[in-house]
Amino acid sequence: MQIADRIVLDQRSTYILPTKAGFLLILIILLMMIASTNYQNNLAFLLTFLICSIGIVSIVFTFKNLQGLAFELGKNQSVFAGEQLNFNFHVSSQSGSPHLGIAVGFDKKSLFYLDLLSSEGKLYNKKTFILSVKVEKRGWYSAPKIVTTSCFPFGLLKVWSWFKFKSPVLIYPQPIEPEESVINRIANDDGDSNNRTANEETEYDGITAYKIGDPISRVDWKATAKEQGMYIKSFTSMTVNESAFSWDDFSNVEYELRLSYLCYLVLNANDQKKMFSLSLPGLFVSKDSGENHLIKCLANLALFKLDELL
Amino acid sequence: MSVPSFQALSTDQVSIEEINRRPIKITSVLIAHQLVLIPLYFFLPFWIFVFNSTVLSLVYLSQVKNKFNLIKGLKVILTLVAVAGVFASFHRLAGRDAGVSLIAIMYGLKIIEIESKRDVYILMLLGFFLLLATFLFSSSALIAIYQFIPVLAILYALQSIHRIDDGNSYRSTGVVSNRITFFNSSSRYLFSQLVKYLMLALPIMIVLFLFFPRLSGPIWKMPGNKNATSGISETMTPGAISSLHLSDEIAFRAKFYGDEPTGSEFYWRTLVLDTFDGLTWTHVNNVISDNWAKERNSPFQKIKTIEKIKSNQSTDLSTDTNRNYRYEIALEATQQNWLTFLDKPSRVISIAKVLNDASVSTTRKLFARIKYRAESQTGLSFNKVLQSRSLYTSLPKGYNPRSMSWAKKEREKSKTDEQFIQSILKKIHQEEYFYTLSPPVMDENTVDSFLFDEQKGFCEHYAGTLVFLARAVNIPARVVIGYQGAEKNLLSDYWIVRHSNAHAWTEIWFAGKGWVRVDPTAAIAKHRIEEQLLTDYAQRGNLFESFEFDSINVGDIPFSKQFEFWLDQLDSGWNNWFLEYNLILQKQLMTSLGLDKLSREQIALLSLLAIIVFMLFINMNWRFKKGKTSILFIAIRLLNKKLSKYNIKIQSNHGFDEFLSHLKLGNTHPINDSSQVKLSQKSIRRLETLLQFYLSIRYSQNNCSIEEQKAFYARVKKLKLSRSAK
Amino acid sequence: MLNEKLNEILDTLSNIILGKPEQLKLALVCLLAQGHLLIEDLPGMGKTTLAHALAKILGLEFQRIQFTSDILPGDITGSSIYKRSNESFEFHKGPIFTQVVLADEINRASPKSQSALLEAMEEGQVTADGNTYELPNPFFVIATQNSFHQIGTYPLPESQLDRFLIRITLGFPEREFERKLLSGNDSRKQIAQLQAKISTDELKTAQRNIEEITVSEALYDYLQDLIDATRESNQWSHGLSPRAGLSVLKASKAWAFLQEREFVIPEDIQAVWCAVTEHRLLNESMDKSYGKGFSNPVKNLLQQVAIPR
Repeated sequence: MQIADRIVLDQRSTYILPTKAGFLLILIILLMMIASTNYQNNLAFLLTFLICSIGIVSIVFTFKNLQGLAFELGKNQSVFAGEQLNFNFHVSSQSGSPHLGIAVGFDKKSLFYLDLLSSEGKLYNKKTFILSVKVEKRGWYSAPKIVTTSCFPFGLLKVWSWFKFKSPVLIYPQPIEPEESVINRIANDDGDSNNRTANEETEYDGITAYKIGDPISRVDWKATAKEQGMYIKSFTSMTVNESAFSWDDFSNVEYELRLSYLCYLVLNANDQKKMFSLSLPGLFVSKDSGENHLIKCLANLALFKLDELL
Repeated sequence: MSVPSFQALSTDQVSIEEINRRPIKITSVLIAHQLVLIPLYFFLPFWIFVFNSTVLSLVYLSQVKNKFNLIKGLKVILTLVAVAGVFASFHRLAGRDAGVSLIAIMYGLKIIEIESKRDVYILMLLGFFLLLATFLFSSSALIAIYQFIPVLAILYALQSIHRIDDGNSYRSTGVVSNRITFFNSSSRYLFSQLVKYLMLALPIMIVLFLFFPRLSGPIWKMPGNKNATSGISETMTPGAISSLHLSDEIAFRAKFYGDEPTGSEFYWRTLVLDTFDGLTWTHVNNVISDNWAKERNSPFQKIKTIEKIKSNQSTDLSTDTNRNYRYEIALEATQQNWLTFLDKPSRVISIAKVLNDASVSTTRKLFARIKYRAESQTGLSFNKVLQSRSLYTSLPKGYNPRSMSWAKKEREKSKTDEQFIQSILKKIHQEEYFYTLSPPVMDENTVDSFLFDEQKGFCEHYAGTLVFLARAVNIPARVVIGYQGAEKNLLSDYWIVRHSNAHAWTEIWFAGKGWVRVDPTAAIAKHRIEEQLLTDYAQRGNLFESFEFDSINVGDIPFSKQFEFWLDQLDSGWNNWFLEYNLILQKQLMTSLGLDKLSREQIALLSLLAIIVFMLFINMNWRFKKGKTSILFIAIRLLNKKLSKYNIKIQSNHGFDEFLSHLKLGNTHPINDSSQVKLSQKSIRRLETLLQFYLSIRYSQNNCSIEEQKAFYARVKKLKLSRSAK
Repeated sequence: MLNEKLNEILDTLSNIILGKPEQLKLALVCLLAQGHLLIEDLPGMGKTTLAHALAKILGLEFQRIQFTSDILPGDITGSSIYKRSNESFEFHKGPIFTQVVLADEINRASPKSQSALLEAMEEGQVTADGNTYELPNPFFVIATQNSFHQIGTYPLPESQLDRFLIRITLGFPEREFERKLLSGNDSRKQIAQLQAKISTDELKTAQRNIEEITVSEALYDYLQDLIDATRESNQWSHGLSPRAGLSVLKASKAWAFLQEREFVIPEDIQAVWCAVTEHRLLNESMDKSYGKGFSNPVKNLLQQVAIPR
């Protein structure tokens, strides 16, 4: 079994066996053989051997249908523990030739199929498989081994192969809303910032030169009257919109649950477009906002003391 | 609440559940199914075609067009109806015709319930067996060629149920997809793949056909089907037939080596009827020819000489009518034991036994076509010494009294036996005797009523009557059944004889001369031959003296006739080259290849090995094609191969410009392999001009032409590299 | 002829900016491709010298705008001032109305001022009081930015980084060059002595010629393969945008022109690839958790993607 992030199927790891239909064909060929011999009919013999040869040739082509397929790990979005991970990877043809009726799955019972058929003039021919899997634990998640199989062209034979992707997907902790009772300090902080946010007052910050587009209501007419040019009053927004989340915000709460609470709070803060910082034992993410900051915090939560816990 | 996803994941995958929910694509299956059945309809009763077509339209309307639903028990009811129908047609259910009819109907009914892929597999794979059944009826080349179409259709249907995405919106489940997606670009691709599979399968098929060990003979005897082939009959009852239908089917083909006979010589002898019971002429004599029996001691000799005509035996015959012909006959299956020869054969193959009336029979009935070589001398009489004279002069008592007495009276008038026979022929020629294929039915004294009352009949009437009259006056006489005339395939060099050429004539024994052929039918005056007959069966015209057999130029013959000749030529070649192949020829082939000492198992093993080698070859071929099969790609690979001798590698991510600059630095450059051999300055220059050429054709224009690619390939091929002198 | 001049320019420049031939070439490519240049480096690395020398040798007008936290859009583009003499507003063109603008420490300015510059860069014109003022042609912005995000800076957002065709870093000079720098002449004096080597018309001709450089299907294949690789890699949250693809193409055409070639080959793309794409590909913060194996993922890509043969 190959383990890598880009897997090209070759002969070594590919297996082949006749399907039920394949066995039926063998039976029918035997019957045809008997009938041909009985009537000593050369055309009947020829037909029998033709069908036989097609069966033989289809061995090669069934094999070919998997060989040269390249599976490549896709860009997997991190999800939260307890959610469905849409584990995706791409399939393409190494040789550029079409491959049809390709199936993949984590087991042979629940398979997903697609056709890889090159359309004219297109060089890059890539399709995506998504296997949904429920992830339970935070941290690095390695997808289980994947089976790929195909019966194309005639369904007389079945080839299959197993492989596994090397790179894991990061799973964030499950966000859980903390109960009031377990929160230590955070309430004050939160409340404080809320108050400030509510107070949408601004402070006078002096006057600046007028530019096209500035609101006329803010023009400092006093200064303008002095014929020093047009000036407007300028204000600085003083809205404070920030939180600091810490490992120590909760008491008497076990490790994982703490992480889940923090995860919830972080997400919540991000939704409200607040700035926030995160402190964990031995780790501090300074105050910031935005997507990258969120991802950084979540990643730290996901990976926090993973080695020790496992 | 989740991390916003950066891109929507789109996928083309379809789950197995959804695939199982999908309606089966029935159209291609139905087409394949019908293509399988079509050739069979030519050989089965017409009602089977009607029956199956009805079933098809029912299925089409209900499954594909969704017009209505079929009732559940329909299949059972239809099956019972069909079985009853087959029994009514054949009065039995076993045997080839009845059996195949039953199979065809069952196969036709199978489409009523296609619910799963499993049904499709069974239906399509059984189709192969049905195709084989067709060959039990006909070995025609046309049908054999046609059979590739249903084979392709079956494979296409099998292939298409494995396609996931066929351009149809399957996602809306529950709706039967009926759009025929034949020949959109991907279907075209699939079809071309199929043809490719077929092409690759053909060599394997030929190997198997030539070398696969065969068992001889039938494994079990199938119940006979006597009515299957119309041919000449082994008995003759002239009075009983009111209408004779002459079939245009081919009886045999003959190819002459050397001289070819002319019009009146085309008397093909098959069997002799020697006994008359008052109504029917039958064959009784089975005495084997003395000469033949003598030479039988050397059984492995292929060519047997019989009735060697010594020069002293033929002194009394004019030499110009005595011509020797060597020929080969390909006789279609007759279901009888008789072989046909031009007049009397002088040499035949060993498998036959020769009777003393010069007819030749085989030990087994001819269920398949047979081909044999022979030699004949026409115009010869034979058996100067008459054996079993009583057999050839006996007549049943009490029949045809008027003819008896007439014959006796007439004999008295004539001086010799020959004159007596001549007078009868004269009577036929001069009096109102007609040739017709629909003679009146005659009662007990058939000869009497024909000779004196009706005076209408065909060859059998005339031959029977002449023999009767001869025997009545104790002249040994017998009826000969065979074929008269032949039609030359003007596009080739062989002659065609059809069942419509079937003929009956007589042989009369004259003392001192032996058996002499006398054809009373030929004595009929031409104007008393039904006109319709002459136009329909023109090739028999030469039977009647006044009719001239014109030599025809190929250019003059109508197109339809030309086409007919062409078809027949095809069929004949087909027979000669292919259908003849059998156990014996297989052995001969093995001997000529030096494989005859191997056992069957060894040969089987060898064939298997050959097939495996072939498959590996396909595999390699495939690898060769990997990547883009542009000429440039192949050229670059060749270049890489040449460079690899010097441990030089062009990195896949390096452009050639960069490669060249690295190359000039030799193995001092960190990117290069330290084992890289330093090339001579000349080689580097050559490489540089070559790669500059590549860059200019590849990048200085939109696309490079095939010619340029070829030029590059040629230059790579010519490229010579050498290592640096140091 | 034109090429000779350009190569002469490069030679002269490399006598002033020592040991950075690659960066000089990229800067020139950026100019020839009618794009704007972003130099990201520490202060004192010769950013200003480069910009100044480049402008001087090309015979272009040069203006420097020092961005500070209190700079206003009007300080860049210019502003309308009421003139009592004729009782109307009169537009005073800002320092941006020149052929080469050096926008120094662009990340110090407020986002609003930044975007004033970037809008002007994008549109090639300035709109004020409902009037449109065309910027000169050629118009070339060299922006510098400190690579360390210091307090009180506003790093350019991704969408605006995209406006710069090429980003280069100068980096510390190597020891031998540093010695020359220390012992040699004052670069300011050298610049003052520089003569224009090329006329504006010639520059425009070069720019036109570059647009006509041939790009073959095979090369598009390679470029698309590279772009697709960025989109499918785990390294970045987004792949390259179509505009980024066009930028690579533009820059590689100019590079090919400097190589005196009339068509683009894969090496041209490889040469400009990092400088054009690196600042457009946002590194995820999780990079570190994947280990330190990938020093430069953008460069790595060039090794992973094969050139279609």
